[in-house]
Amino acid sequence: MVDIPREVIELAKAGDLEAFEKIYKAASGFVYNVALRIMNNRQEAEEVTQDVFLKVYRNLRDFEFRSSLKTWMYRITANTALNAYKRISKVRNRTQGLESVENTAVFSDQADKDIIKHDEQKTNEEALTLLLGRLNADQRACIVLREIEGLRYEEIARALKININTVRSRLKRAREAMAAFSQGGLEK
Amino acid sequence: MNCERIKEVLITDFMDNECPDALQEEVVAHLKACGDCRRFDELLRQKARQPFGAIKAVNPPEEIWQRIKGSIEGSQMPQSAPAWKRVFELLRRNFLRERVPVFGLATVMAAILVTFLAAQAPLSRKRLVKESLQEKSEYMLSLHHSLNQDMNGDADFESTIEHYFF
Repeated sequence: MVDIPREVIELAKAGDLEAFEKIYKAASGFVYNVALRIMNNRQEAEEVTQDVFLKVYRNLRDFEFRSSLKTWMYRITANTALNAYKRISKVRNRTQGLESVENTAVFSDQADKDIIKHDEQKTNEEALTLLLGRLNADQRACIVLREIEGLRYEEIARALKININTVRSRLKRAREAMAAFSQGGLEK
Repeated sequence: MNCERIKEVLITDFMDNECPDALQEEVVAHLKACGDCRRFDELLRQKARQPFGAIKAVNPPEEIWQRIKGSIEGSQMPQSAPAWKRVFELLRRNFLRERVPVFGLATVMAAILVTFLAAQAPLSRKRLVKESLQEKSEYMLSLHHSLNQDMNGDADFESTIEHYFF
């Protein structure tokens, strides 16, 4: 996510919609991609993105520059996506009985796959969707913040409000699961 | 450091450039000497990192901003609104922004309802007892009344034995 000048944030804090649009343009790519990888579903990612920016707009007046806007938005994005994912998973669990939630998330976005035109890109998308589908939501949030946005451990810990060693262990388990899925197990 | 510990570092800190310099050097030296750990590192990068590098960042559809904008504008009070409405909106936004604690309120309401019903139950029982007593009293009174009538009807002897004695 690119840095947003302080004067833009100040204007947006005062309710300037044009300034807020600049924030949206700077951050929407990050928010949408993180939401998409956590939700594993395009339509749900769009809803999360919309929800995140409405939360940001409503709470911006309370933002006091104690942390960077980036960190603050990372936190809102990760929490909103995780909460949405967990809420939707509960509903899916109830309606689909014993079927795995993770697999459901992976295979529920057939319509999304049709949107991707290029074959190679489609293959990569599908592969990543399948791999992320093997992880639980918390592991997925960690690996997405690390691999897509390139956040450092400390930033991930702040964004998710967890201990830095928890970040380590979630990343470790996520990578083990991804490697095990595509390889049939990592040699130890 | 043994291979197991090296693999722990490879899968997290080494892969993410989070190792302190000394540890970084130690791991690099180990990788040069250990084929097994080197293969582990290569496999890890191929299976757990490469998939992220191969995908393109996706931009959100244009209509999302329009929806956000519409939602913000819809929630704002227009200048043409009456003054009292704008003052109320201002107060609401500044002082009543906290979310209504729905579950808390529901719990309190449920507790009040249960207390009310519990309080009502003995009352209804009391009412039943009262009605029953009233019915019994009325019955007893009617019996008493008819007995009195019988007793007061002294000139009206019905049997010869009564005539004989009274």
